[in-house]
Amino acid sequence: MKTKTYIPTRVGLGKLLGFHSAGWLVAELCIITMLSWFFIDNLAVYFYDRYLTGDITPFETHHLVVGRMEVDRTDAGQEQNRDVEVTQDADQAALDDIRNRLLALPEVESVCYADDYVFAQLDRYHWTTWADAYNTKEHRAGAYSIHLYLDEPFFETHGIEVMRAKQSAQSAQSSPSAQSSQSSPDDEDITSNAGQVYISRCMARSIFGSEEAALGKKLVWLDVDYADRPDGSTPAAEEVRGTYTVAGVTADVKASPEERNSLVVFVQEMLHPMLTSHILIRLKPDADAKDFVKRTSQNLYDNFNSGRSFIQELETYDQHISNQSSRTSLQIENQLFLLILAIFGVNALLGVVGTFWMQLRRRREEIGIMRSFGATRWRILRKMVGEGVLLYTVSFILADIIYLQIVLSTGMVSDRNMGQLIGEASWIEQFWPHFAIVSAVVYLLILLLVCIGVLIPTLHAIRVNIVDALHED
Amino acid sequence: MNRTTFSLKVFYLLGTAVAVSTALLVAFVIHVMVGKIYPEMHRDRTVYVTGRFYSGDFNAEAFGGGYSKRAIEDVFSRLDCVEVATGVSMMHVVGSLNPASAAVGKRTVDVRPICTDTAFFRMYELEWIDGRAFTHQQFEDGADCVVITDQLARQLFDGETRVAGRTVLLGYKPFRITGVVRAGSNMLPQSSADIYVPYTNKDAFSMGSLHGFPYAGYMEVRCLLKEGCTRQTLLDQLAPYRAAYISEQTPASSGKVDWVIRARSHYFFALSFFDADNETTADYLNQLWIPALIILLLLLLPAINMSALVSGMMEGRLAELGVRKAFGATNRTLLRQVLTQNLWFTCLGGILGLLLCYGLLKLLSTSTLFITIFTQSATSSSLNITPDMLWNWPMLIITFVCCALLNLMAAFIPVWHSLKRPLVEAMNQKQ
Repeated sequence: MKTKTYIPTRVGLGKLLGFHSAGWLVAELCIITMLSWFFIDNLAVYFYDRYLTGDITPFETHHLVVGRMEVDRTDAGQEQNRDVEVTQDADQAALDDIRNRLLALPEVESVCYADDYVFAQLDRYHWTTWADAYNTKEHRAGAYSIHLYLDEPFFETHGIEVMRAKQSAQSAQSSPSAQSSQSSPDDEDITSNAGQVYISRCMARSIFGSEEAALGKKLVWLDVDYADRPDGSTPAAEEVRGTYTVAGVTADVKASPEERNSLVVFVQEMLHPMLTSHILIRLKPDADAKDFVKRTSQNLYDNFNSGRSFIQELETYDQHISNQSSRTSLQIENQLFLLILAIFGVNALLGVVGTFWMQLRRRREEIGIMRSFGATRWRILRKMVGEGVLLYTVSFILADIIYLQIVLSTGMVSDRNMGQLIGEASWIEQFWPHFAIVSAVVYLLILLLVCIGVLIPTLHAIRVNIVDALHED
Repeated sequence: MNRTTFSLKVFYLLGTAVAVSTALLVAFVIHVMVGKIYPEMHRDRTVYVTGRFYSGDFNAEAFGGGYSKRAIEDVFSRLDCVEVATGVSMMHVVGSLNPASAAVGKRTVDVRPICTDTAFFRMYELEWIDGRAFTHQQFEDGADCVVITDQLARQLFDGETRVAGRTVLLGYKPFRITGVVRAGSNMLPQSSADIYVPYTNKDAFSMGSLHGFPYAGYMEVRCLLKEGCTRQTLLDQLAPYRAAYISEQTPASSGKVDWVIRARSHYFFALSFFDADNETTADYLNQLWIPALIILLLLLLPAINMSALVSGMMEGRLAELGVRKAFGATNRTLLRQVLTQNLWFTCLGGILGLLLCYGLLKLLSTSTLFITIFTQSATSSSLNITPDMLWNWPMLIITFVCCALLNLMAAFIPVWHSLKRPLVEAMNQKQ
């Protein structure tokens, strides 16, 4: 009986193990590429929105301080016996007293009480729908609403540029009681709820076509009801909640640093002393905000309390943004994605290092031969890195084709932007550019990792003594 | 053992430890969500109930989908299958009860409140350090009283915990402390809080019934079922109340009246990866497949890396296996032997992984990421991870299962491949 004799050769064995382990590595890199695609996509969109779509804050922030106002309710038991009007006047006087004390400080340029301000609460901002009063169907946009008080120097303290409408609008802003008398015979839809708003440039262009065209125009706040009914109908009814006049157009500010478009509406309202929650303080250019906060906070309650009101805490605006930003759900999600990518990255790196280390151990003789024939270390390094690049490119092509099938059926879910502009679409909103760009990012990032993984064992292997390598058995 | 084999074994051990520790992190998260941990010792019998009320074109779900005090007293507390029924306010009342301080001008602490009733303290086995819960009368009066945790007491009262009877300012309004409880972990948001206030207190934004909907309100109802009762029993016993409600309300309404009840047992409430209206056995398993998939991935990727290490280790044993095969051992026998030996080694790595997981958790307990995932709030500076969360039978069993899986995925194919080598070749291998 003829038997088959298998005579293994070192080269054959090495090749077999080499192919075997390379196959595992291709599979691993393929899986990692596919999984990473989703996370890198979300991070890429975030990065673009945050850093490449204009200034986060178009106003100077290093000399801005924000504070939280509180009400001392330790004598709240007496509250019910108070005369409401007397109480309100006293509370207003208390706020004015605190403001004057702040203005008396040499570093302070301007003080403003505010219910809300840019980036006041990053994780809880909500969107409302606004439209041109005369064309609510076509000229509309979602926007973030910031509420500011009448008679308060909100824009000046914030440092936001504003182009105001005609003088009558300015007078209306400065005199709340005069506001209701501003209605002209043409403004028959102005009700007691009508007021004035300031909108961002982006909002003005989106709804009215240009900033100048927006001034003095009527804007309506729409309440859209998307609730399902028990019978399965979805009326999505719309109701006009208020009609406003555009009193001015501001510089583009965003609802949050991650928003792509600057769709913001500043709504004016009456100041209610007991509901005043925040205070903004603009310092002079030569003042140090951190130092100001530190010194002022030492006796904050003692120095800045009046009546029932007091300043509970102060922080610099930059500190405020930093604290807020680190705790938003988007940031948490991004941190989670980075953690997951780090785990994948470590695994990929270890896989590449391990596979190439084993391969290079087996190829020491080959390396020795190459070195003895004059190959430089750099040439061997290039060869090994080239093999790694080839290996990963094969994995990437496989993974990308598979992932493309997935996103073609499920769509891409990385775009969580709230404000969408009418008629414009960035690369994020277009499928093929989005897929191509993110694929390129994924390829480059993981390729970098693979190259590092190949370099580590290769640098070790090419230092081998030629004689020792040739004697390798 | 030569140096190469020793190095391979060390790397294998470390690789196993890292792989198991990351997989255990996921398992830990799931365990915290569904396991029995102080003070939530009856999660298997806990059901969360919300509702939607319809009357004509008006839908009261927009108000939060909760129930009123009247619904809790007239309906849920009277069900035979319910041992305890408690209401917890769903309103965001953090602002009006913050910050906490011993006196105006003194140190302030941002607190997480739970606004609830007296039944809450029977539902959750909170350990009393001092005093007791607010009384039923205090609850009915909406009194300015509060139960605080020992951690908060130490922060406000210079390390003291026996502070029942004293006053604390919440939102700069004085509240009387009726009792102090041992703080649970802030990883259990359903029961964990810094202060417990009656939801009838006006600062807790207590609301009566919504106009036209006697049972609609702002409270999430939690029912502790009696032994032997299930969620379905609860729904069956609610049915007649629902029917009575609809028949009472229908004449007054211009349109259709309905009360849609949604009851979820804790398991589905906590995991909620998928909707499960009937909570069947298949639904229970369904909720686990996402975390299981994540664990599998966290094991698979390192397993692929470690299979290369196992290949290397097997090279050194080819001669040994060749000799054994020459003496009649089958491939199956040798496979079983090698896998079992490898399993012991993997379990050693698994134990290291468990210790590493605990270390990682301690490290991550101050990470903003983990804090916010669990507590959903910015008031905690760290996660309170207690030993019983990690050192318990479910976690140890999961550790072993992870080790077995990892062993199988990493070692099976390289070992099988090695055993397929011809006998002569194997015996000719130098060690």
